[in-house]
Amino acid sequence: MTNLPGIDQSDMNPRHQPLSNDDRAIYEWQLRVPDFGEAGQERLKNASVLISRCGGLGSVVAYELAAAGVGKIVLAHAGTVKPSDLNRQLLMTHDWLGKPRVESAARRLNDLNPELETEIVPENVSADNVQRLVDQVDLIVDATPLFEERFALNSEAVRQRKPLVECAMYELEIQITTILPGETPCLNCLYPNHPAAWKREFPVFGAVSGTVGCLGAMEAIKVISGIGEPLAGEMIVADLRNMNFRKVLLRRDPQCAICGAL
Amino acid sequence: MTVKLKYMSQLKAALGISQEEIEIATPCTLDQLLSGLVEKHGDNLKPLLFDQAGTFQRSLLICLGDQQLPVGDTTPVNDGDEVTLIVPISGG
Repeated sequence: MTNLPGIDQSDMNPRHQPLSNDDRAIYEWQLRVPDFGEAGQERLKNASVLISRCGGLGSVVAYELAAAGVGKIVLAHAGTVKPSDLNRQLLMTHDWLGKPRVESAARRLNDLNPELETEIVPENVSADNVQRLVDQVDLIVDATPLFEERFALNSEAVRQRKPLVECAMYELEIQITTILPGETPCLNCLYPNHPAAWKREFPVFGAVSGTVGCLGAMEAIKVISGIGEPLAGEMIVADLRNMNFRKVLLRRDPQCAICGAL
Repeated sequence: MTVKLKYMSQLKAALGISQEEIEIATPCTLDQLLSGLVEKHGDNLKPLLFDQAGTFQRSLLICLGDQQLPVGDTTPVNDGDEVTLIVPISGG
């Protein structure tokens, strides 16, 4: 495999899989991206991604990564499909109401990409499972509504030094940044206390979660394949109400209790 | 001097505005500016910027221009500066 920048897969996936002719046919259009090519596609094929919750945001991240040819996706999300999921959780369907969300998601992902390995975990991330979940993947996408889960993912990603794409939304606004432990601020640098104003249920459109989900998937593809410049130490803050997109430079806290020693 | 303030997400909802320009006395530091905002907007803003002990909410992103600065920062604010207050939001 060509030695690209991006994440080091050599220790994580000893059973490296080369591209097949079917892969070359399916991914023909993205193989034309000049700095991506076959080497980048191979890296996606041999990569694994944990998506914490496959709701409005995580559904779109998962669908785009499955379409792009990521080899393995681990989906962690408790609960069953509810009517109020259906405005934004695009891997959920009416016929799956009352059935487990992760099963609906895996079914839809494998319809799109039968070669994708999906591991479904019908649990939300917690202190009890976070080490095991993070340990088995190359990269994590945080699409989680609760800060307790986000802080657990952040701590474990930093401990295992794995990249973490942080996606968030509210009403018509989005925020996204990519955490590279030891190089960028971590979530605890940004939010050292539990945010006082955050409430579990909030206003949002599916097109908003889809927008930030696509951006999150692109960040994951970039970090895995080594192309482009991820949002390392930067955050996109966008308001789709007026389509105002801006990047802010984030500050790493040298005293951070989670990543300060790295 | 005049400073432009931008408010995101729950701050925007609490205040009912996404931005405003305010006149402040010179000199003024970033933390003084935020304290002055609470006097201006009162109870709508206070719980989002301060905790119950009256200290700044540490989980608040404050940007001077496009640079995030730590909560409580005493960087001087200059005429024409743009300050954005970003509260944490999440996925779902």
